[in-house]
Amino acid sequence: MADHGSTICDSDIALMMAMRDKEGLRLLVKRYGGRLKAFLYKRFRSVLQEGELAEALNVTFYNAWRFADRYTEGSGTLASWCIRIAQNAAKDILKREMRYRAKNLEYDSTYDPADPRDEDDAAPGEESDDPRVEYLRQAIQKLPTLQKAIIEADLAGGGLADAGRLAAIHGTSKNSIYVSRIKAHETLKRQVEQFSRQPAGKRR
Amino acid sequence: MNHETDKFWQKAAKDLARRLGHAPLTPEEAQREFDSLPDAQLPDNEIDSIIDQVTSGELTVWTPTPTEDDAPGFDCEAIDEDVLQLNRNEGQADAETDALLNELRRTALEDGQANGREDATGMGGDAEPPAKGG
Repeated sequence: MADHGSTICDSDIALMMAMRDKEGLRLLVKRYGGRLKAFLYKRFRSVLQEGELAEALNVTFYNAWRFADRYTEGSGTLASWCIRIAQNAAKDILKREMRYRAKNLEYDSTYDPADPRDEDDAAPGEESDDPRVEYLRQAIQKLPTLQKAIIEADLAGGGLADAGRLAAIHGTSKNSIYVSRIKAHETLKRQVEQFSRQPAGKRR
Repeated sequence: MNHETDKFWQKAAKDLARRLGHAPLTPEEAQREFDSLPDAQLPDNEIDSIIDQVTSGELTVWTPTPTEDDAPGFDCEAIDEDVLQLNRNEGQADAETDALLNELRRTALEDGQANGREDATGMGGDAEPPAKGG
């Protein structure tokens, strides 16, 4: 662990934070901050800007601090709980989703910041071995720059990424984002259909 | 988007998200992910900044900035004078631009002569000088 020397266990850190003890938060940031930052960079560097990655890290600790009383050892270690919060924080930024920072969530005893956000989000499960999925992944790489960026942001965000954010990054209009997204979907669908029509032995 | 494309994408996006590691992590997957990451401590100033923002509740919201990837950079210094004279407003007199324009005309004529395409009028065989641009 990064906080070499500390003997305080994770459940005590969570308890300290639930009691609003800043020292608990400091221990959490010292112990897991480096790996949480590394996680965000590894998974989201291609779709989030440097400042947004820093924002995601701050939001991760903000939610761990706010909802420390919701953490239970039964739902995994404190580290894995924080990783899941970090994943949600990054997705919220991609979708410019602010409602998960709302104050009233603190009064919802069932809310866990590590839970998956939407029903639309891909549920955890087995990876598909359908060859069309791999073909689709390759087809995305060949899309024009803007279309590729939109599709990658949508996939990383688990839904439609915010058009305003994408427009600002790519120096275009929201309308252009909507149109490019539709074009990308149509191109990908057409390519996958062509791929499916090929005999299995001739697919490339 | 038509309904068929929409349906196709909804299914494909979920499969792809799983393949690319963007599906929500289970506690076990999150633990494996955590264990695979390098163990390094954040610098003290970053730790302090996080603690200040978290405890005050005043988180910095980052405003996205345009990337340079979409507009490949090029050195425009060499052409900016030409762009200036091409884009001046109709009727707009500018001694510097006029001098540049004359210089460009003179150079163009010299090029023509050097290539053995000498033209007495200096207008490349046209009866009239080029019309005013619109």
